[in-house]
Amino acid sequence: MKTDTSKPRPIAVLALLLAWLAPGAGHVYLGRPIRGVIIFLAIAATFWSGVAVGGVMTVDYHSERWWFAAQILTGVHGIVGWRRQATVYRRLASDSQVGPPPPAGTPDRADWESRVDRKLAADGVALACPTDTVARAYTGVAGLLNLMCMFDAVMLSLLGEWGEPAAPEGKAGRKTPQEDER
Amino acid sequence: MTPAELLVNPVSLNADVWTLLLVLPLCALVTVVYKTVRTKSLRRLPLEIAGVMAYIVGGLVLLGLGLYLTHSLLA
Repeated sequence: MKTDTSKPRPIAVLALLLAWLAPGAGHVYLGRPIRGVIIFLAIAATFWSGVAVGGVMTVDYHSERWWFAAQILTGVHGIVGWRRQATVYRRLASDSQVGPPPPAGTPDRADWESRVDRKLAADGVALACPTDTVARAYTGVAGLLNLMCMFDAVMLSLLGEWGEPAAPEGKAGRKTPQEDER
Repeated sequence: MTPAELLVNPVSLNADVWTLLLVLPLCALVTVVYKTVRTKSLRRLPLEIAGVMAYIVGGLVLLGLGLYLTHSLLA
């Protein structure tokens, strides 16, 4: 890998934030645009494939918090999924059969959750096994993949790496054409 | 199902052996991201992705066969 001394050291926190917010943006910031685009497309495909399988309730902050923690690691994708699910809960809160959610831990909470489940099933958006497993596996794995990309972007920033790594030499130790030109 | 319903309503999946095939695109996407981060040369990326995919799918098949045989022997 090359360390460009003419440029200032990358800002690790900025790389982390960019990599979280838009998967692959951390690598674009570090001068690796092709990798950034591939990462963005692959993570977007993984996340939205899961949503296509599971529908709007795939990202469920209220009843699937561990999955939600993984899903929100996809940044903008997770946020969009969260807002779409929040729209459903707002609609349920204004519904006379369901009402607003009572505080967690109160006796009314379990009753409210069962009313929500019945209403979601009636609307045709409730998730059932194995659809929920497939949908949440896809979206959760997308978040964990982005966690790996965030970690990579931060590590490259801390090492001061800009741009693509130097091309590896051939098997016989020959230099690549790019290295010959230098 | 209309395109508008695609991201709203869940699709109906059956708990059968064909549903297991949904792990293949997931493996492919995991491999693409992993090798994109790890590879030294983007030129070799498709080949490296194919290699890791073969490892993962082969490993899953062997694991499945092993578990199936263990289950059969213990049953």
